[in-house]
Amino acid sequence: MASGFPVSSARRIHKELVALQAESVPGVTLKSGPTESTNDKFIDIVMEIKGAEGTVYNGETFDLRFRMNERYPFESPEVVFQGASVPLHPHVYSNGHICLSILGNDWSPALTIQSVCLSIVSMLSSCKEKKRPPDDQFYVRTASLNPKHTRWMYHDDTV
Amino acid sequence: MNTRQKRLCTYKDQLNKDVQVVTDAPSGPTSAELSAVEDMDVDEEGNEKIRFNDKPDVFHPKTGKRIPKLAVKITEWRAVATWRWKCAEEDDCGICRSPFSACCNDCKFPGEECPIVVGKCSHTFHVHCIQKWLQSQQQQRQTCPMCRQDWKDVSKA
Ligand SMILES: [Zn+2]
Ligand SMILES: [Zn+2]
Ligand SMILES: [Zn+2]
Repeated sequence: MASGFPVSSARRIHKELVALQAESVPGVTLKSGPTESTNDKFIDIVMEIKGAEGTVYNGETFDLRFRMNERYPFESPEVVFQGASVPLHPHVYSNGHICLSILGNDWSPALTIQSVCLSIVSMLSSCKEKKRPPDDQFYVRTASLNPKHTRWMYHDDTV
Repeated sequence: MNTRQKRLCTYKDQLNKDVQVVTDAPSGPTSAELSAVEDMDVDEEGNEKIRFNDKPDVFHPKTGKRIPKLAVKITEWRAVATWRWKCAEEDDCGICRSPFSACCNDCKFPGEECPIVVGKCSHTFHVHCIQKWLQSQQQQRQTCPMCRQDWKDVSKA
């Protein structure tokens, strides 16, 4: 998978991908990747998640792009919704950025691509009313492309 | 009081700990996947509190200490899926995901070159893996990746 990318990070990603296939979870699937950046700086993976039945996202699918740098898993992956369908959710900005503490301060190397996907599915599932965060317009105008450059004030995790 | 039918189900959270959640999702897990409802705590407002399931505590085979369950606070949750991890999970390092019978992702040979350490919380990692994590934690608090308690190496007896 990797030539310039550190072997230990690449191995851990590889193990996760094997586990993803061996123990799949309904509604969480690998869509594309791993794709290594030309400068060996990161590996991208796109996951598809499905809105759970009985929730306001029932039947919708969303693409999550994971970008792991050479510090992974000691540093959190950069995770954004990409493509045309960014879920309307009070913690999801219209540029795809997600306000979720495990992607920042509460990251742990015991978390995985799969467990992050499940946390995001759960975050979506607890939503009662589809709407953007109140500061969406301002945020989208001012934010960096990388959500990890944002100093997040984590919203109430229960929505 | 809320009269909607609420159901309790057990699942493994992202750190592989048992958590019971209350759900009112119309299409949650099947009844076979749900555990007994008597574990549910209901406060004055009729809000159920989540409790860890009452499976026996897990004790560390070497130190005999109870392995703490992850403290999570969930005030509401809709069950989206139930799943199970491989049973062999406990024998893998939670950081590099290699079995303890093998070395970490940086080493070539298991054994003395790549020792295994045990924390006060009874979680176990390759020493190289936990050291990398502790070094990368910018906050002063150094925590166990599995349970987020303060990390203290107790393996040097
Ligand atoms: Zn390890
Ligand atoms: Zn090692
Ligand atoms: Zn621990």
